[in-house]
Amino acid sequence: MSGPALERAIFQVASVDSGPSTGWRNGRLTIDIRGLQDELRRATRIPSVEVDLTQPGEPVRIVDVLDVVAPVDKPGGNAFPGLLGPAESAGRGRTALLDGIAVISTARLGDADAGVPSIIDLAGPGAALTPWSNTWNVVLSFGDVLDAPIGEVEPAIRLASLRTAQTLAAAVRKIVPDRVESFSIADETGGLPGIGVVLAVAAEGPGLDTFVFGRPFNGPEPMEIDPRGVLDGAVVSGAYNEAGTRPTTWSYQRMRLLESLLERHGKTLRLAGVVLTAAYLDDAAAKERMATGAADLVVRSGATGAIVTTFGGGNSHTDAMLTVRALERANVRTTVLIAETNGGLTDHVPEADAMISVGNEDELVDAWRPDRVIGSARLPDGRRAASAGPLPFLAYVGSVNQLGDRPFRSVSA
Amino acid sequence: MSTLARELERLGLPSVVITALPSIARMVGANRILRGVAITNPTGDPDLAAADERALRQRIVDRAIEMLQTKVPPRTIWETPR
Amino acid sequence: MKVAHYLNQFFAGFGAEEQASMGAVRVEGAVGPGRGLGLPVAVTYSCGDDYFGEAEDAALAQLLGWIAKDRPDVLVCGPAFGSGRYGYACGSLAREAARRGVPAVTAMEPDNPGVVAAEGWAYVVPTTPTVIGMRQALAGMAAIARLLGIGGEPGSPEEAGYLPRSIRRNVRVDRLGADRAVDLLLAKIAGDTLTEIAPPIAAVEPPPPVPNMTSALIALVTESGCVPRGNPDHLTSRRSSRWLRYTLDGVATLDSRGYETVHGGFDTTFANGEPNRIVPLDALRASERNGNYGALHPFLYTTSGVDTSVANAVRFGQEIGAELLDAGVTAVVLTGT
Repeated sequence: MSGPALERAIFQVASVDSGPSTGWRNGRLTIDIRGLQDELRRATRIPSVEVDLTQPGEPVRIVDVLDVVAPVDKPGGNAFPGLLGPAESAGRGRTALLDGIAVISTARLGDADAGVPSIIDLAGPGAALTPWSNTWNVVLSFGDVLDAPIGEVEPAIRLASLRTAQTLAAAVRKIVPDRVESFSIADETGGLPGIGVVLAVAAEGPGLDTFVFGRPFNGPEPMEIDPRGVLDGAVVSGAYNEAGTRPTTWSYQRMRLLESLLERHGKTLRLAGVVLTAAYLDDAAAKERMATGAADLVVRSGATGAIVTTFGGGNSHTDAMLTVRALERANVRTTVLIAETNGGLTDHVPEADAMISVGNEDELVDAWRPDRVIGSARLPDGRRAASAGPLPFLAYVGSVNQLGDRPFRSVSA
Repeated sequence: MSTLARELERLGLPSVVITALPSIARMVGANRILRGVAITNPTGDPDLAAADERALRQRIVDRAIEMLQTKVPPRTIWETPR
Repeated sequence: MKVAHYLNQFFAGFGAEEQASMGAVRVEGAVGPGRGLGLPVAVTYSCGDDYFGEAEDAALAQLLGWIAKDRPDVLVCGPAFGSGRYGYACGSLAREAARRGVPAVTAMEPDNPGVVAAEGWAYVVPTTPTVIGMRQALAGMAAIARLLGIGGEPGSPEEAGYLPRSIRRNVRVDRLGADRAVDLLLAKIAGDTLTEIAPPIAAVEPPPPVPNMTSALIALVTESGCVPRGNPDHLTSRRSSRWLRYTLDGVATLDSRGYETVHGGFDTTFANGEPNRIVPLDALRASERNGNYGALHPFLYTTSGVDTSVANAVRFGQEIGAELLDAGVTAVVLTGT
């Protein structure tokens, strides 16, 4: 797994504003919003597209959020292999990343969950729940797509967000970065404990898919993947419900778990590898095979321990627990990252004795009235977006993300 | 009692619990629960004539035996027809 | 501040087990232990433990109806100590009141099923198994009730003296989950297993049904405290630390001359008058004669289920279960409260 390093050239965004053309100057990103809007309308063939720019801490609520993407560009390569271009490998060479800015797509798709909204609050009590109250946000709102076939509209929106992210980051071509992070995995024979990661994703159809090198990953076998590939655009989210617990593309690009293990590689541990598993498979036998298959791959990588992530809601908690059990039975020690509910854990196996709580998804966040709502005036269940609340953590995109990106846990009260 | 029954089940013995407090049995985690008549007389009814009471008891026991032969979801409560 | 108090029929002074089927009543002011709370108790509700257990919906409707009219600032229930039925009533009523906006506190022994019934909605103060801890239980409940009654919230379970509730509250911490996960895993590999979420008690899947009942060996177990008359082995009426085994060889029915019930948690009059009302041996023998099942295991296993600690109940189940498996028993019928 060693190979050439991934170099991430980081450009720190100081401010973002709108202007006649898109460009970068000393940390200030100017975006041709009108041009971007026109281009999106043309490319997606969705007439009602709006682009909004928000600043950190603005009293804004964004609703019907689909995905969040960090702007990245890979000159001479492909920022999102398999989607914006050919499915060549990712995770090596230089990628530019704009830090402090996010591309957020919103739309009410046909399968939108009427039960739980998908929101980001940039101020108020919900601001602390997600990172994007601290970033400049380029919000792409696609209106009137509810009745359009989701199989056509979803890819159009997804590709549009990825392209926007790449276009913005392309503004820094030929500019010296503020800093460069280098991710390399030197061969390690020093007897450090080998640590693997089992990264759970899921693909259940349009609006519920995770793309790996451009293809929905549904197994049937688990798959090894270079962790630097995950950080470099190989994994893209097209799974939009249960906002609080599910990953976004951003959470793969900025996955703290992998960055942390890469930092510690060669010091206190050896990063043995990352295995992708598909959650939400239909039958118990397939789920069990996925779990034991993942355990086999982890054992073969020489890991003595593994961190298991959970993908989303209830069904995937069973997958996480089956994976824990399969690993422990194969003598690999595990910890698992998992969200709790007011009813406790959704599933559990006795082998899961070292669990990380990412928080209680049912806990309510105080109601808040934003000055402005972007996305839609009403939530899918009909409530007015500007006054709906209190809302559970589950409604806030990424707030109880089970990759461990948030600084929350729950404790007994 | 349900804790005791749960341990029997853990050893693989199908067990039916006859109790007038099925909610508690359910909460504690028994799986085959049959509602009894009353706390003071789960398998009888002193208000009935002796023969009727005996017939009621037989129905309860027959139902218990039936439950032991039935595949049930976890924490299932059955009633006995009066 | 306006406080409402719930007591069972015994502590409210209506009577002991013989009043356990008493319906719900409402009395002005403080009654019995309620006077020891040191709070302005405006109204006391009571009902029989059996009545609550057997007619829970009706009992709750009555009690919650009064609570809605009386509008107390806080509801105090019990203390129930080790009594399972009373604890269940306290926990259930406290939960339903809290759900409807009346904060509630109760008190009972930690093993009491009423703790689970409170389901994290109400605060449960831990007590001794018996009334010996009455003073501390009342003081513990009163301290929390005082805060709840003025719209406050107690501190952490350790500080304020209540059992950790099933509600899990989100807190912000210094480190991201990912970093905590790596640390936890390295610690576990080094031999120190820690967890941020306590594992739930392992549920048991229902064992598969008996495939061939006509050849099945059925065992009879009771926690009603049914023993030969005279209680020759001195089974205690409460907090049994043992179980007993009595032969059923040649015994076709349990008659009142031969058997009695020593259970301390319910009125044993009916059971003593006709022991088959708690251990249905006559009916099981009839089924056996009819060929509905193979044979009845020739021993009755008995213990007295009131106040039995969870640890003891687990042990009884393991020990009795081992013996039953050794004897080739196929399935078990259990009776009790």
